[in-house]
Amino acid sequence: MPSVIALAALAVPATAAQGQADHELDGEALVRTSVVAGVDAVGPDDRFELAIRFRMEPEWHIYWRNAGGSGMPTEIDLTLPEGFGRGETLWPVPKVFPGSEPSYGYDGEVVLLIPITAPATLAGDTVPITVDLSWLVCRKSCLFGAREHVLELPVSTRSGETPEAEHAELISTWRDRMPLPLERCPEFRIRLDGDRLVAEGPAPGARSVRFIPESTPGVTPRRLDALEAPVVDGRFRLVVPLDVEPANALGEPLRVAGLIVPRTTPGAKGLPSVTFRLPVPTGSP
Amino acid sequence: MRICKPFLAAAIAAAGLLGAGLATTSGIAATSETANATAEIGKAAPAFTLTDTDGKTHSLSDFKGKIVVLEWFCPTCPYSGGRGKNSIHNNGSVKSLAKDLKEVDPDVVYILVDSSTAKMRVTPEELSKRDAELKKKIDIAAPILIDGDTSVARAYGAKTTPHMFVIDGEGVLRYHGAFSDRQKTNYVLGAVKAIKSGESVEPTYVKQWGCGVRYK
Repeated sequence: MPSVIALAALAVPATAAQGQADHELDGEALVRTSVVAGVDAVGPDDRFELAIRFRMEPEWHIYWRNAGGSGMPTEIDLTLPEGFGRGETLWPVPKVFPGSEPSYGYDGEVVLLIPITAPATLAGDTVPITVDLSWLVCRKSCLFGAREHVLELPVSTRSGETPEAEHAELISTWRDRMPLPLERCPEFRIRLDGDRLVAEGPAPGARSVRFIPESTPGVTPRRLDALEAPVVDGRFRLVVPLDVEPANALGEPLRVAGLIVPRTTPGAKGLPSVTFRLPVPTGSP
Repeated sequence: MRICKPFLAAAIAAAGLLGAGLATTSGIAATSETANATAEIGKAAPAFTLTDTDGKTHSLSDFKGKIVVLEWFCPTCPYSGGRGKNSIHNNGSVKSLAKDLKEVDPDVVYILVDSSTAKMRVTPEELSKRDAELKKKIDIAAPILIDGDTSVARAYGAKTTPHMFVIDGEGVLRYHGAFSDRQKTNYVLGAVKAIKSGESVEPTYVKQWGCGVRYK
């Protein structure tokens, strides 16, 4: 069995640049990236995940798919062979960087997962996957970075190959940190009440629950700096007034979307975060 | 108590694929969000008087009767005055916009405002000197106004560089937010065209992108 070929681009840490102003540093050196697959070979109709790993130098952060008040979403462009399909990128719950309009992103380390499906018939000996990454990395100043990774996964004649242990563990660890779709959390109720988003549900052990909004053209929380509700008797009720402006929808359907994230006290058992997307009726409120 | 059903590997792949409709290219891009700015669409834009890098004073009231475009600027931000292909001043985007704007309205006023003193930890004088050098080096035609105490950024709610504001001849804010969709659509040009032709501006707000503006 050929082993997986995973290219990890390791950059030179930027900490050597003592005394340099932030904007004189290298945005590529501040973020180390690598890409691995959850399979060591690809068979017909296989489903697997790509893991995109970002490791930031201390104090620096990159951005979630909604950067928030400032910043730029981290971007991933995949080039897959014909017949392959990809799912939506899965992003762990971001950190909230406070402000009148907070920003959302990651410091330290983050792994994004991308589900991939193989076609029923595979041509050739290898599956080439090109992953183009670009990011804005910020501390006081911001720097742009980009890098290309190329994976060459061997083709297998059998489906469902065993994942390589090292990568399986990385993927499994980060999969557990992903927010869960609302459909998997039947005790949560998230709905629109006129121009208000109302989220309710259990959050035992959490001290509060926070809404982290997606970027949804034409629909915006009225107060982006007040998206948190306390947990009382193990339950929360979060009410978010929305500004609904169809003229600003950029031709997209009006919707409200985001994450409901419990904030636990140190040592408390982890609670799931929930991701949801609700259509906003035209004419609402 | 189990609140949610955990995600299995197969389920995650299926859910993800269902959501994306088997798209084969990357899909999540920056789009929009709201204002929360002090400056409000449909209301008078906050007055200001600032000095540019040549020592000339500019007030919003000087331009009564003309459409004014304000672009928040930072000399080191990679989307604003910084180096590289993403900089709107380095990649030709601003020059292209200026040309298009002049065709729509020869009297349009395009101004850069730099509130980077807090962010860059420099004095207004140092910032002005730095901007003057950059203006010459990369051939920026518009005046760069120095907002040393960041009060104008605060009054407008400027969040990023570039964060754009379009003010009509009556001094009313008609658009603010993103420079463009980073592809083909420039929202500033759209707003100026609508104002010139007497139409309502749509969109009035698109979520801004770029480096954060820090207030003092």
